[in-house]
Amino acid sequence: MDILLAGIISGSTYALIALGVSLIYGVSNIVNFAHGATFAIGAMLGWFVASVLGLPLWAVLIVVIVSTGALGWVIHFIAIKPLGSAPPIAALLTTFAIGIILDNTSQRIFGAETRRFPTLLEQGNLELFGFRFGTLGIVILAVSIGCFIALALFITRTKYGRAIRATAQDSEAAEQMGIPVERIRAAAFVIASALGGLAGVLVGMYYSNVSPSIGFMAGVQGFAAATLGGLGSLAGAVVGGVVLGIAEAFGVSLWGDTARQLITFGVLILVLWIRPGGFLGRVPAVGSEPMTGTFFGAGKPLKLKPWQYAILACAAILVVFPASDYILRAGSLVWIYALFALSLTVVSGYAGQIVLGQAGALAIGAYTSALLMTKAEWSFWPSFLAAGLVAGVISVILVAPTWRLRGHYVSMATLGTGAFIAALALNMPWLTNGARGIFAIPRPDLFGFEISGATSMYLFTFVILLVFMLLVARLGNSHLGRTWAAVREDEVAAASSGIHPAAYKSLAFGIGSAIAGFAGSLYASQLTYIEPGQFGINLSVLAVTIVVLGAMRAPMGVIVGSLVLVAIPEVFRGLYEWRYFFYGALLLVLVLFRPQGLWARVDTLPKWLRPRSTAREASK
Amino acid sequence: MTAQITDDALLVVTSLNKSFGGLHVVNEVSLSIAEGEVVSIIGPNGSGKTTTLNLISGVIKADKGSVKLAGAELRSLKPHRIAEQGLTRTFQNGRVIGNLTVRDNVLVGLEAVQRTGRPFAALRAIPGIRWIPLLAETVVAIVGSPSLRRQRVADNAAVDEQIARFGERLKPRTEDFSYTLSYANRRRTEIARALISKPRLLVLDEPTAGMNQTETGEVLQQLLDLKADGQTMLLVEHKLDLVMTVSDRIIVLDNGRMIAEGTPEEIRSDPRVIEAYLGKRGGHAAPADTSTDAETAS
Repeated sequence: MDILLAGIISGSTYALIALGVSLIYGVSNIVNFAHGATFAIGAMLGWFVASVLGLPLWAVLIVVIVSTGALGWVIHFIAIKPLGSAPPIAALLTTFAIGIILDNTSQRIFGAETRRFPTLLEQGNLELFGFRFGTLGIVILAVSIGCFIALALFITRTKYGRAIRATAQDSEAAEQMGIPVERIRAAAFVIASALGGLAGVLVGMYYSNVSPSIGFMAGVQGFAAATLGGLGSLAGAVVGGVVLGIAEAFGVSLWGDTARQLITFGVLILVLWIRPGGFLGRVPAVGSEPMTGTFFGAGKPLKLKPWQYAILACAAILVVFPASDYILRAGSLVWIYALFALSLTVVSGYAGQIVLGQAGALAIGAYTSALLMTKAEWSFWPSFLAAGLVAGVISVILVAPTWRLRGHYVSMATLGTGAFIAALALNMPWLTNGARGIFAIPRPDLFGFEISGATSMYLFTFVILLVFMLLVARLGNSHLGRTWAAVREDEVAAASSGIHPAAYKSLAFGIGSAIAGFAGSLYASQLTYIEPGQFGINLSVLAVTIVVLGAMRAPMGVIVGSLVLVAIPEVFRGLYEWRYFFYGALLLVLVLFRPQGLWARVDTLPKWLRPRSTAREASK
Repeated sequence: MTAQITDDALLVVTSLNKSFGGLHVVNEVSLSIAEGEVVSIIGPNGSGKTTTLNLISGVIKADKGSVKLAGAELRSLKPHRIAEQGLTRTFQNGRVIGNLTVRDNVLVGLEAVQRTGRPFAALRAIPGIRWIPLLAETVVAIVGSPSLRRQRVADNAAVDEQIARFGERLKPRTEDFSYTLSYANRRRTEIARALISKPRLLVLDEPTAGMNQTETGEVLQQLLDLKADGQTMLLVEHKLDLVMTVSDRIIVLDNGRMIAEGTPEEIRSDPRVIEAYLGKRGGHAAPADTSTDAETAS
């Protein structure tokens, strides 16, 4: 019973987060991937006001609600408004980038360490029918319920609420009826973000400690709760939040606190498998919107003559003579990250599926190869092959039921799967050594010689990267490239032409995950040490940023992207802890201003920069 | 293969139903098309024409009813399987693949029937096992083969043949990206894509929407050519003179129900049709959405 109560209380905070996710999705058809970061900002700000400034609870709540509300407006202004009629993928990436920026700014300002949230209200001071509970729990429940009721009344009873509902149902018709749709969307962001910030304070008080990095987990909990209830349904968000809270509370009481993550990610994946519409929502019948469309295609990938490629390759090889060991080791990492990002060239660039959890496949590959080499004493090459194979197979199985869905659902499912895999690595110490990781992973060998020096490792990784780039380029030019393009840009038309979209999406994802697995094997052998913390969301972000920066559909893009992204932080060594902030900012600027990437010839302006009428015409 | 129950018709649709929420969009629609016949569905906007096509081609799942192509039930099949069975279609708003050339767009249409370079195709329908043909296809795509190269030459010739159907309209644009095409050329590309697999039944959803009179006249001629070749077609179209010229039979929908069925002459004089289509005052009030409609109807 105590567990049930605890579940309901934490569930009500999930419901607050989920309400924001669903509200924005309902009004703008966007999954706000910055929502978790807003939550974390709310929590940190609450800690700052309460603990450093020493203000009472009501002042804390006001400050947090006002500032996170303002933050919501800023997010909408920077990340959503400029995109206009760009496809949803753009907003997905910009909000994702804003989330990274917020998380890292908050870490730099407040420090990365976990802080103690001051006790503003009593815990466990009341007793009724033999159950102990605190003023705090009551206040959390009361505030949450108050918010639900206020929001419900606002949506159903007021003029603004009617405008919000109208925008949610048909934004074009609403606009023609004189509803300021942009302002309504901004308002949805403000309300949702304020709720998220409020949830941050409540959760901070409840668990009595906060850190800037809690945002990612909270965001996924919000997605899980919102999806469980039915994305876009506000009542569903409440139901989903409470159900998730109770499920977690019972799971934690049975298997300990580490199970919490597994349950959240597991719930998200399971819902997307079994009933993606959730309890109360439904997946739209004919989704016609292509995710990437012509958005990344306004520029054609640059094409060089074969001898020009040869010169570039020679230059990359000749670098070994002047370069120091330090640079060569960094160089090997560049090639490994490039190979990792190449997995997204196939699945996102060719097949148009925005995958946000590729670090999961990398982790499977790294662990498979590391375990086979250290525990089973396999040699490098069989382990390398097994790494790709296992990563491909496991990823495909985990995500398989998701391919009948489109767009955001795919992104959320892969995000959840990637996080689930990292959580598994942490929670299976009998296999993976848990948080302590695996040490002394052997280096690769070739014809009996161990490849251990910086130069040989550099060349070795480069050659493997080249081989895979050639294979991927060949796939892109084959009839499969054409089939993927059809699926990417118009699934309905592709299906009516005899292409099975789910099968080919799954194939691209399988090939991509296998490539990520191969990269993982190299990664393990390059670093000789792996632990679950290395395979977090930041690594998945890095892969996405590399392909967006380089060029999504050209294998050359991964070299350009990873050179810039891995090399620049190396150059600005003093600003090293800012590098993820920099990745986020770069991703945001790129999506806004140069979605085709650097390795592209731009012959027209991106669609959303052209005058409105022509953009509409072109989208028909 | 199930036995042919009704008659020798190619397509037999029985009691098709579909509701969106409380709205009964398609209500007990039944129709049949014989081999070589051209049947049109007409009706006011919102009468359920496009939804009927979407139900037949599997883009939307029907709530109730049956769709049989040459005796094989299509209702439980996914759209790509329906295309393999020999039913291809075009869409109301010209769905071409923007970042592919016109040639590649038309080649996409071959996926329904192309087997060269796609080994073990029989296993495709089985979940899980379909990875065998998928991986085999990947390997063939990377390695290449002489038969694949020969097939590519043959396929390109087939594309040229389809594009030649439209005279000089589409030919100069064959290697252009299809997002640069005009509205009418997107339509033509789509028709070529639907025809290249030599479907048993071609389903066209408003093939002349957004075209001017000259272009509409050209489409009419092309449809008549197709008909002369014995192509079976199911057509949704607003422009009544085209419908009257090309159709063997016409089905009239209103509010999701069939209100009339017959030859163009019968439909032209059917009072229920005139009432539903033109309003109660007779020939002068034109409810349809383009001026050509009004001209042809009055």
